[in-house]
Amino acid sequence: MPSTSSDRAVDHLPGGLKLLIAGGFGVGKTTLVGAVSEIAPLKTEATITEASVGVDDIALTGGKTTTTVALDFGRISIANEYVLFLFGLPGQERFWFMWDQLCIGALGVIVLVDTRRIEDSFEAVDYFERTGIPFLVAVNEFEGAQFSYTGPEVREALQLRPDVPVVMCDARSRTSAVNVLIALVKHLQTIDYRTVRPAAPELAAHEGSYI
Amino acid sequence: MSRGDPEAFVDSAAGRLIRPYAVAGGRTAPNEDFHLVTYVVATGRALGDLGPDHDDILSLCDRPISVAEVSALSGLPLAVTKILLSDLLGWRAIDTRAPVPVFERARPSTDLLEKVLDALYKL
Repeated sequence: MPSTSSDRAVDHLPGGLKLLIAGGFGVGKTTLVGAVSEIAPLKTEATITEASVGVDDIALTGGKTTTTVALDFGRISIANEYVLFLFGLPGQERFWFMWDQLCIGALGVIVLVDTRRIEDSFEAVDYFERTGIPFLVAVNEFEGAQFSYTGPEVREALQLRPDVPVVMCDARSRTSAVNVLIALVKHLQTIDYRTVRPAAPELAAHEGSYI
Repeated sequence: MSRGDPEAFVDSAAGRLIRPYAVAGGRTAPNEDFHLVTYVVATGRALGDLGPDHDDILSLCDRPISVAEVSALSGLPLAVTKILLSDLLGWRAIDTRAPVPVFERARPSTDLLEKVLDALYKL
């Protein structure tokens, strides 16, 4: 029963857009979100049920245990027309099934890398290369980091395809964090989408029941 | 209960004719109308006493707001938030706008990416 009124509130709703930030625990995902967001980062919770591995747990809960996964996010308004949301992906490997759902409809992904623990990023890079979702690698240059790497060294270490951009950043700096987003959008402008597959096409109709 | 005719449970004078938990009862999967960045806004339709959870969520929808923010600000998990929003949509207490489709066999529009870039340059 569509209304015929031209000033319905729904006509003024912005279109939601989504960017994702992946990376290991403590790499600065929430810091990056906070640096660019127009609101203080918010936290929403996905409650998931996992098969329990503990015998005691099985006795108590029938073999399933409920886990809460927090998603930090912020937002940036785009010309009163759109709102761009930035979500930090849960880093733990056992939550990767959530990535499939979170990736649906995402413009692109920032893989944030801490060069002190570069190995934490291998699997994220592999995941996004497999799913075909556009991403770039942002190297968070921690002050006093024991090892300082150049972009090419990070590219080599992560065995990135030549078309994947690598940018250096300081996730605490608004200017630097904004530059990462700009680099990602510029990257999106160069992509031949005929070769890009939607992540998890079997789930593409909706996000699913976890998030 | 027919999900296709939510109107059957709303009376223009009396408001909702059945309790929220009865409407939501048994559903554990959220309505597909809601994604994290789906925008919602209250229609202003008066429904009477909805119960605290629906009331809390509906009051957050006084202004345009995303599903993710409704969840964060209400403190309710996403799945629960989506179920309650499904109820409100069924009762026509809210309107929704789906996320911008960006990844369905097509690139995001050039115009969209330009607008995003412009906004980022202004930050």
